[in-house]
Amino acid sequence: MNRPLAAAFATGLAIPLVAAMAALPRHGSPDQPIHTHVAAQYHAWPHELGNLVTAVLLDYRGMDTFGEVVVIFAALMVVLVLRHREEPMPSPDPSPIVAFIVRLVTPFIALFGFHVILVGHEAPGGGLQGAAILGGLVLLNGVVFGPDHVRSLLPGRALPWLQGAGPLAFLAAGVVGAVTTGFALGYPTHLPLLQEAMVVGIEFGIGIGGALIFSRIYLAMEGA
Amino acid sequence: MSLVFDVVLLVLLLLTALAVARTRNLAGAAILFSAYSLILCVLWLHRGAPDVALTEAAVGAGVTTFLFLVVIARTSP
Amino acid sequence: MTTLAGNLDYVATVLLFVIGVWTLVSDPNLIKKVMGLNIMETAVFAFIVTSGVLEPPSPIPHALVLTGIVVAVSTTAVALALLLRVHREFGTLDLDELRDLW
Repeated sequence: MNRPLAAAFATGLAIPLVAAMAALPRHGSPDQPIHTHVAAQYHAWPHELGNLVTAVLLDYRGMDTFGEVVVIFAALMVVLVLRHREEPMPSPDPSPIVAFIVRLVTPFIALFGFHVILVGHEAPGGGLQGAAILGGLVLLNGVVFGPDHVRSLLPGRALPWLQGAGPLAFLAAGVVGAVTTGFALGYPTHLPLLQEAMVVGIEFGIGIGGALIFSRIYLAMEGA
Repeated sequence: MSLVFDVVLLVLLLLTALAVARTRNLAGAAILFSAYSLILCVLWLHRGAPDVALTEAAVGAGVTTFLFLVVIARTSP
Repeated sequence: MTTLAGNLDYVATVLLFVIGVWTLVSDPNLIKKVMGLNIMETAVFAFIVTSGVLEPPSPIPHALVLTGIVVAVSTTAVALALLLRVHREFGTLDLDELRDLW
């Protein structure tokens, strides 16, 4: 699209949007549209988890989080369908400084990633954050050292099953919830130990599954 | 004080987004995109959203930037 | 109906969105188009989190934005995989050249 037409389109889009910003309530006032519908109910309901974000993601909006892990799994399916055997690029020759720092820092980042997954129901953190951290770590090693080195970091035979760990953890939690309470993803509040085990299990499933999905997407793009 | 910090962050965000839009060099645009993502992470912290800041830092500067770099390396002659 | 000067944060996120749309529409390189799409998505997240700032802090908009970030990275991954196939089939990633080769 030629430049004047694109500039005119962008200006024509900006003017009504900026004018609409004048009609919103003032920044910080409680009658914003986002606070007046369902959010008040979520604050009123009791929840045992320390982190309200995790409570909303896994408890009140558990089905939405289930849909999201299915979305990221479907993205992996599409990337795997689109891959093709690629001639390997010349193996990267990282400078010794970069190689040393990446090798030094990788175990600490991995430890932090697992910590973020495990502590997610009490403090800021959770499955998605841990998945992003661990996936980013594997991608860092791949960009610096090449995809063959990355393959040694990943589990071998169990990889296809572990990639589906997100949806599988949700299915397992759904079955357990349906058996103990009457609802498909209901958390049994009368068995607090089982409830905590379900939450940590789902977090671990999202975390490990998401990280392995990111790694596999990277390997598919490198043509491996 | 926090208002000044807010204005500085938003101005930096707009400038970095404009720089990503205008750069012709693709690898430079990818690194600028990583910088944009990190400034956005500081904005999330200023707004009091630690979960979102953690996810944005790991995803924007970690996964998305690396995927862009892999594709740019594969497709440039 | 309040003034525009009191809502400068929202105006900044809207301008960020328009910068993303402009990148998506005007730049002929497909990778820059995907970057423009990412800028649009992060601008929408900035708007949601900014409009969710309240005096007893309410973390509910943050949960929505978390799901949005993961969907954004999935979309980017699929778009980049499609780009790799386009490059393999046609040899170029420039939209003007692709329009002639199609």
